[in-house]
Amino acid sequence: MLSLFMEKDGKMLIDLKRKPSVFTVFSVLLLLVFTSCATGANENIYKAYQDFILIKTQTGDTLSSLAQKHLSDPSAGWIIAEFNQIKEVTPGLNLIIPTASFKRGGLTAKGLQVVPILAYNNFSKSMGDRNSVSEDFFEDQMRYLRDNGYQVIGLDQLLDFMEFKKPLPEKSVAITIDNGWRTTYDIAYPILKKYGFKATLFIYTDFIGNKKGLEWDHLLELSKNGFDIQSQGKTNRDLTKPDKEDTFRTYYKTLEKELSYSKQVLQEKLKKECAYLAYPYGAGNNLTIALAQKYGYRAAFTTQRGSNPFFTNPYLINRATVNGDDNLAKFKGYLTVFQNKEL
Amino acid sequence: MMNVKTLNFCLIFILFLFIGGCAELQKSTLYYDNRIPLSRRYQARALEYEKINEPQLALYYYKIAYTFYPQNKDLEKKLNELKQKNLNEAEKHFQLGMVAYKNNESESAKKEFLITLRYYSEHKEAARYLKQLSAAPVYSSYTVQKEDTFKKISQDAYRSAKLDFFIAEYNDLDAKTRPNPGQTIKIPVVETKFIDLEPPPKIQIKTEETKPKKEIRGIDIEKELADARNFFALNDFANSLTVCEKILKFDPANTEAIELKNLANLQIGISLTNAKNYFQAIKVLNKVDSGFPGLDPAIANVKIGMIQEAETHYLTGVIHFNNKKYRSAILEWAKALTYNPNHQKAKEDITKARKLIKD
Repeated sequence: MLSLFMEKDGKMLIDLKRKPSVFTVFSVLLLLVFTSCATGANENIYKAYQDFILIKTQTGDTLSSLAQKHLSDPSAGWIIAEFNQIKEVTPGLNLIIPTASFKRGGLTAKGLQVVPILAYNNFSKSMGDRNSVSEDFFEDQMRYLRDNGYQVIGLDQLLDFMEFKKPLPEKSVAITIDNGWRTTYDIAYPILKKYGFKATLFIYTDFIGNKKGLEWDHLLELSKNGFDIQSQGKTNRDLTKPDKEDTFRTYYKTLEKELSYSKQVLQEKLKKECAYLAYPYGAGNNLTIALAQKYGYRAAFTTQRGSNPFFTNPYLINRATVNGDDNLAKFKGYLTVFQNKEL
Repeated sequence: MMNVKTLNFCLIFILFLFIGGCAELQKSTLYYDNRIPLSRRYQARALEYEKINEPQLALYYYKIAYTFYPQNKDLEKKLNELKQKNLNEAEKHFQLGMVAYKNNESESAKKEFLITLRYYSEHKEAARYLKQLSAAPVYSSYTVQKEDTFKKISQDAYRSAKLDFFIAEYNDLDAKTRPNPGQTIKIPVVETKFIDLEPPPKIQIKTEETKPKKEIRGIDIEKELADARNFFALNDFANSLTVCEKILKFDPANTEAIELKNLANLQIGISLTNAKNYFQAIKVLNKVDSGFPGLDPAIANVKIGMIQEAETHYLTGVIHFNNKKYRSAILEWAKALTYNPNHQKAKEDITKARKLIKD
């Protein structure tokens, strides 16, 4: 407030020793009135209770902005929509924002929510083969997800759901792409961008900079644009199978290097936490799980088919590999989001 | 220049504007004007959820309805009743889950724990057991004893002293030093085939022989073994065990089936120990071949758990005794003795309490 009374050169704008003029007093008080009332009008919280907040929406509010403001998570707009049975926000709505646990674990009387995770490998411009999905087929799949109301989530959201901390939209699905083929950038990335989806890339670090692999510049760009870059080890060797020449010591040292080196390199280069591991060839065992835990991975992913309920072992999370010779009907079969079970 | 009267007038006028304006703003809020209709709206929604058996959502909406209209006594009563009903149902299903869990009926246990969480999502024990049923521990915890070295621990755990470095490194310790007595360390579960890894001899005799498919009296051993391995990898130890037992009926010397059977029993035993079901754990662990890697620490953990459980019951008994509830005290001490038959104080105090009851 002091600055109100000071000019830039430090000279007093209002001489406090002199009695103020009617105009000055009136102006200052009027300013106070407007400021306080303007603050009141902008503050759209009516009341915050233990389990919810009651608000009145204003111009410019969206589900995402309200979720960011009140739930500290812009992706949680669906909670506000579902709780208030609305599809979008218009000004002047009285809304309840639930702040306590709401539908955690996706449990209902008829069953429980399960989350499908799609695993892609390579992509091709024209006809795909078993290991690479063609550009057109990938676009068909992404279009299908968008047109049918699927919400593409990130792995942090998935793990919050699995740790029984936060709920997920009913039709949640995660997209992962393994290995780090250059086609991920050239073919999959533009399509994902077109549909507004983000994916998680599991990279084995020895492949970075390879003729057919992604470069660090690609990874940095993808990471900057919200794609999650995570580890698939260093060399892409099957972690459950020791080499013929291995003793336990050499096998253990190899596993240690595969899991710790890749994590460290990705973190250093991308300046983001690497918390997830995809087992090369989708295979993990007790020892790899024990080491993944030791090196601070929050979860690890297999290629065992099936959607995941919240209580899935976080170090053996299922993923459905999408093959190039699949068709859309088969793809739809990978998208189970609910398990019937009388509860 | 401004005279005092004019200044006062201005101040009062502005204050009036300020209070009046903001009060008007507050007044227009739905909290003051619409709270009863709002309460009714959310009460109706609560009823809908109650009808379709969604107890937590129903409770949530009743809470909202009540918050808007706390003077409504019927609503208060309904809210409290539903809260209590949800808690009771949750506890009932949790107990059912525990019974199924103790009987190794994992699917039934899972279902009951899920129902528990449907009634009360804050039930931490139900969530913990549910996780435990899906994720077998990949290591056991072990308290270092006075005479322990890493080599000795490795020998006891894996039947091989060679993994001393592994235990030390897994716990961020130095294998060259002695572990501190009393310290708790993690001993990862490792399959025997990895422990015994040896590089093949340099000179190998080339043989044209192909391994014949092992098929005994209509049972495809390789297929059954693959099933047992898959069940094990999926942490479905009970089914892995069943398949192994089937194989062993036909081929009692099948080393892989024996190994898997031991591993499955060991894992089930560890899970039961973690669930504090010590008697069942001992029963299962006794089925594991003596000297099998990981067995000794697993049994040691059961014993430690039983001693701790005995102590808990003993102390509960002491509280009852101090409150002159002698019969309850005797019951607790008797429980302590089932966990630790050598609990001398429990024995003595039972005699003391019985005497006091007679007197």
